[in-house]
Amino acid sequence: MPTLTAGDVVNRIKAVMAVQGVAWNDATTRDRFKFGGPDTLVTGIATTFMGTFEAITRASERGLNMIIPHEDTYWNDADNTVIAEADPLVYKTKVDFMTAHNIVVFRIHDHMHRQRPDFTFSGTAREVGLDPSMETAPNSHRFVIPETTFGELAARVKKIRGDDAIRVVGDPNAKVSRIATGAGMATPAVNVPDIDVVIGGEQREIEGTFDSPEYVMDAATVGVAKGWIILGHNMSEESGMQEMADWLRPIVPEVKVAHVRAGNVYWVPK
Amino acid sequence: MTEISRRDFVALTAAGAIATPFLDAASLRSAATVTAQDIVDRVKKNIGVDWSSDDVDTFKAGDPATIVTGVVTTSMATLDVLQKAVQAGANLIITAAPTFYSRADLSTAAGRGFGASGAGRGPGPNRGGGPGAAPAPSPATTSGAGTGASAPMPPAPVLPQSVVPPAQPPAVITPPTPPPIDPVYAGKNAFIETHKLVVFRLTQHWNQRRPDPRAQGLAAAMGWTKYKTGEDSLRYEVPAISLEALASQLKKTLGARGGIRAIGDRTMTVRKIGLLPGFTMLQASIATLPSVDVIITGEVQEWESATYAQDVAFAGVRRGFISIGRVVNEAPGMQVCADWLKTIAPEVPVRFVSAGDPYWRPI
Repeated sequence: MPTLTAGDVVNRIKAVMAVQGVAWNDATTRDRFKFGGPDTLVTGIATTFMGTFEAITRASERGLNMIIPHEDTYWNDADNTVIAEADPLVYKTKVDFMTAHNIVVFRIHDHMHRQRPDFTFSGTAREVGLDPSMETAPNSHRFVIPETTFGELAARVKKIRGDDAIRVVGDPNAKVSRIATGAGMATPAVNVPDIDVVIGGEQREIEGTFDSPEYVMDAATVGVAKGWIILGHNMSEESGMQEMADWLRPIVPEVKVAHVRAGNVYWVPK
Repeated sequence: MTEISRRDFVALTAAGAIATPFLDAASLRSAATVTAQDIVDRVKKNIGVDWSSDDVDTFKAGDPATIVTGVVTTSMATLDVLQKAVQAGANLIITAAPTFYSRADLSTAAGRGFGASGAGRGPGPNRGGGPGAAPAPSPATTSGAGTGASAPMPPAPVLPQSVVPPAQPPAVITPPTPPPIDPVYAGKNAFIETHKLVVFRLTQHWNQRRPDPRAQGLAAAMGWTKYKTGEDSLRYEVPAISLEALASQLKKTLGARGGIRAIGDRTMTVRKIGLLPGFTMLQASIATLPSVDVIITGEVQEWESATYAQDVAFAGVRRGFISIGRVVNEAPGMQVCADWLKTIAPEVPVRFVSAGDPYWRPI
């Protein structure tokens, strides 16, 4: 019989993070219980990129009832359920499933990004095949690889990552070697002189503080070697939830801890 | 790049419009001269919506007093589009998207990368990729109130601040030396200067027109105009088609490459289509998806509408969601804009040039 509660798990997370230099910020609106609460008994823990219905279902099928997603559960950053309740298609089904399966959801976002390394970055670097020995300095998120063409690099990233919906901007023949990686919306600037390629998660196509797609298109016209590989928010941060599961395992030895993928978001038409 | 001769250009643009006989540049000017400012004044007078602000829809480059030899409308004034405009003999470019890589649209590299640590990369609670780090969507281009959906309009961003990272104290930005010249900005500025081009952005007011020009243009391109079910050109009921076939058809017709992405069972049958042009917030998707088979939009935040559609599909509810890309989404509206401009600027040839899809996909 498990006697570990979700509250116990959260308290241990806070304690270990504090020891590792990340003091808990109680003002966070993100890193809180999103379903269930501290008294829920934990049968097992699933880390995942987002509290998708798919992730919750797959975790439950494996006997894991505590979900630790990096992102939200109700399709908005604030997890405002008033917005989500307006949906008649799936909201109730999802909540009913969580109730029936004694699910508890605790999000870990802000504090995870304050950890060093930030697993969302290191996980992505691992999954796109960037060797840590090529990082210019610890946690710089910059890598220097043997010179290749941008097209070859993009094809390699896609092959290793294995997802279809990767989007790329730039001249495939450009010679590149200096890479900056991003995670989620924190996509590094591509117009930095000593960076050839940015591999990031998500960024607005236009109307942002900096519109990389147009810049990279114009760089190709001018003949400046630049490339932009956009994995998708999910694809850029899911990898790091494996590292998060590995981090959690020793501090909750009573229960099984596994990384459960939130599921592919997009497919692409022919 | 497609070579467009001036003869082809005139032939293209004169077809169906007020017939402007081909004249050489000099006689054209003597026959009737119109400046960029004249054309913009006519746009403001005839557009049919209140010219409510001069924040976004302004001149971005060049001298408004320039005598116009031809007009190109485009989804985005990339350097490639500017080159095509020059080949076609046009010197006024009217663009939906920014020209200088940000909403602020400044012709120097002040926004990101050079100087300080760069917008969106500063310290603060959002550092590291939280959804909260997202810039506010443009009110002009959001599917929300007034577009047949129910999302509240976000507050209009204040222009000068849009180049500054929101969570970063201004005092931190202290570049001791001037930033190096950005070769991409420099190359674009030099081309504009050499060819005396004038660039005007027209999006905020253009997309307030009803019917929504992006929806109207997309429906025309797809052959859906006759299937319109609503009064606002946002709803269509088309002959049954699978979601996968629909996505492929959109990709081919709109000239998308890697930017088009879809969610939902590929084999599901689509009849009812809901268009949400531009950037779509979650509230608009929730207000629309229940009453249609598929939403077709320009761009969403992945953790909002995309994840919502993913959950709907996972639950076995037969609904689809297609994101065609923001720039691709603006193109049909600017095609409509070219046709409209011909009626208010009959002295000069007008044509549409697409910026294409910024994205490609590795094999």
